[in-house]
Amino acid sequence: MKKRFAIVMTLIMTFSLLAGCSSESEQSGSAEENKLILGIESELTSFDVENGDFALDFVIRRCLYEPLVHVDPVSGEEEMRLAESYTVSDDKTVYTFKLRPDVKMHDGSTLTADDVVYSLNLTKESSYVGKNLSAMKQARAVDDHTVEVTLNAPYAAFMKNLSMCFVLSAEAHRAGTDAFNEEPVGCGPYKFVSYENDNKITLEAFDEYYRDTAPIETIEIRMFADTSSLAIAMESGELDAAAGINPVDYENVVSNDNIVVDEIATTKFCMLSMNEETEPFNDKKVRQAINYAIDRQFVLDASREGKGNPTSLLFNTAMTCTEGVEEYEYDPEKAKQLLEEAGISLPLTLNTKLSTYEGCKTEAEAIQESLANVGINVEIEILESGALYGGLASGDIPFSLTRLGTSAVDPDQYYNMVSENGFSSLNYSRYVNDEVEELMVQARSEKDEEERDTLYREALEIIQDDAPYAVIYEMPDLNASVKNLNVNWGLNGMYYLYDFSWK
Amino acid sequence: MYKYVIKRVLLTIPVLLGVLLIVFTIMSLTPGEPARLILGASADQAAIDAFNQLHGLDATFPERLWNYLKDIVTDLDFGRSYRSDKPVFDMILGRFPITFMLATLSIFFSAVIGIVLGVVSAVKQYSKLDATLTVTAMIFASIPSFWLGMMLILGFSLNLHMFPSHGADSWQSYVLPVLTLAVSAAAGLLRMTRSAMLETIRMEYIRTARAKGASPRDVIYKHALKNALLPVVTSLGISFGTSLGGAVVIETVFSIPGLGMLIVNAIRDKDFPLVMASILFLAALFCLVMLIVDLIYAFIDPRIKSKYLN
Repeated sequence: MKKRFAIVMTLIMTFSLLAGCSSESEQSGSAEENKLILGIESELTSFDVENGDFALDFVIRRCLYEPLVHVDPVSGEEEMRLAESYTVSDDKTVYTFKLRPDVKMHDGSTLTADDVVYSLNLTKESSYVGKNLSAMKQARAVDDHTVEVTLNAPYAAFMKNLSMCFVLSAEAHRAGTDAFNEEPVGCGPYKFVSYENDNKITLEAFDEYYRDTAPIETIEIRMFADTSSLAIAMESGELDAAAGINPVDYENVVSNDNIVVDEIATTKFCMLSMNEETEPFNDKKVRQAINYAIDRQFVLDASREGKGNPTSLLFNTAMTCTEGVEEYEYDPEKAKQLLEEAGISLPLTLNTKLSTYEGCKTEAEAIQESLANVGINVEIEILESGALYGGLASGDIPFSLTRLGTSAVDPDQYYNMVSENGFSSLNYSRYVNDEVEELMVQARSEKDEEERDTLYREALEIIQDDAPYAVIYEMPDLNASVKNLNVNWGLNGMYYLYDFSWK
Repeated sequence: MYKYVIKRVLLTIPVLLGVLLIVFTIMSLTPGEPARLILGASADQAAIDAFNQLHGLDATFPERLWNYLKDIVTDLDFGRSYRSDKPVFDMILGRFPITFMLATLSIFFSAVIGIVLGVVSAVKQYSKLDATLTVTAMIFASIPSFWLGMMLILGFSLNLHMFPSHGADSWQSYVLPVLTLAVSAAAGLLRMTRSAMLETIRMEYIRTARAKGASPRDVIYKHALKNALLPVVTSLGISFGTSLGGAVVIETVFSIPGLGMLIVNAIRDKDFPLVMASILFLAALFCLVMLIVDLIYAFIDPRIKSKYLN
């Protein structure tokens, strides 16, 4: 019996030793091998430039493909990429791009205007990212290295949106999307090597990339279904970098001496929408009172361990047009006073529920508490996200709490939230104000940056006063990386792994 | 025998049809449009309408059901995923080997551990060993698998660095998820085997076997176990089905790209064709496993075998 026990124990120990060794070797040496293992909490839709809008879809596009021009999301500064230079017609509707002659595709061919036109048309047709090119009327190849893009009307944010459109090999893509997804061909800094088990993507630096070859030779991207598994994999040394750490795991991850966690500003924000077609939200004073009643820092502490930026501004605060616009501070007394002026006797029990989905439940509960403090009682209703979006689009949900994010960092992205044209999409409050509509439309075609900012600032001031929404907080991404990795996480999840390197 | 198999295979058709109808109805009745979930909150009505038209979602419920059935019957076409636009069975078959491996390994280990310890426990009834085993089994049967999974990750991945915490890249990645699944299944099997054995060893024919002088070992393994195994085999078959279901939870905890995770994501998107096909696939598999279980009976129990032969 003892002998048998000894044999079993020996087996178990040998087994553990083997397992231990192999994962040890996996853990270290990423820097020596010049390889980056990135974990991300996201799915992948495809390797195309247009099919899908998950976080990972964009990360991959920024590796395999190139935009014509890169535009800094905040400063608007432009860096030429596939385009060598471009000109704009006097009426600001025709953009002519001169392409670099020396851009090689991953299959060895040279980039031509045909690839660009094909990719732009493909993107425009997309139900995921087509909105980035909604201003484009048509794209055509003038010659092999010149592309002309015509807009429906002048559109100031066009270059910003264009920088999120990527170019792939038209020839490879014409052969069929299924085949293309098996072996995508682009002209970006990395080329596709393999996609295993639907959860591991391997990319390799492209030697003939038209700028310098990428500093990191191999990139391995691992997909996670759950943020806590992502955090644990980062902590246990299985990953070199992790995008999308949950605030709950922040302390654990950051307590590891070898890891740094960066807070990356994004356009994601959490907001209450108050449908102006329903009682009592048809009264501006009530909407303002709710804005004053919410203790935003408390909501943020309760739901996201304080990670985020409490603000009541609808437009993202990274944008210059938000500077100097007055915010709603937490002021329960003021809220009570406004409700009194609106002829409401407290305590008030709302006959509508606060609708939200599972992901915002904690926020909703904290808001419920804030509102109860000024005498507004409301019940919370948790819906499936599909049902919630459907109800909001049809105007059937009067009071809701949702999270939103915009693809570009540009005030025009909020147009559908404040215009009648957005009733079926993002205008959850059914907010209409002719003055705002006029300012937003005018600013859209204004080329002068400062003038455009002024128009948007004016619009924002009116929106803030009308208070159709009560924005609660802006939400940063928490991205972790090992200390000897140089990272550049960009803004709003728009990072190029080309900009990463080992120290 | 063949007749029986053919009859059973044919019987799965109404079962699958029933599953299809139920899932299709549930998916249609639950609120939320696939278009809104897949295209995102910022999509406008025009994009939503275009999506619905493209996928035939603007038709009425009976029309959609009819079209779906028609495509399956005439072309064996189960459709393409709304999200990725890939044929659904390519996606399912790409993911299935991982889930199958998880389920098979965990059933294998749980059967070995559960049956052996169950027999030991029954033979040594009321001993200290029996008490320990029964209590341990009770504890493990009660632990929720997602919690056990997380604890194993904390212990073996984070602190000891022995096994990876996620993925399905190497054999090491299977250790923790298989352990998680196997432990609770083994606990159930142990209890089942123990009670079946206890019942059997009190039977008169066991006493007869002992009386004619068969060795205790032969009595247990040849006479008792073979008869006690019948309910255990049924429960093994059911366990296999539960493992496939349990894999949904375990795959999420361990970020394993199996069928379970595919289904979870598809349901979240209301990706009709993908949900339907995955569930039909699992249902068909379950029917197959139950058929195999019934056939195994024949080998264990001669009474049933003789029935087939007639």
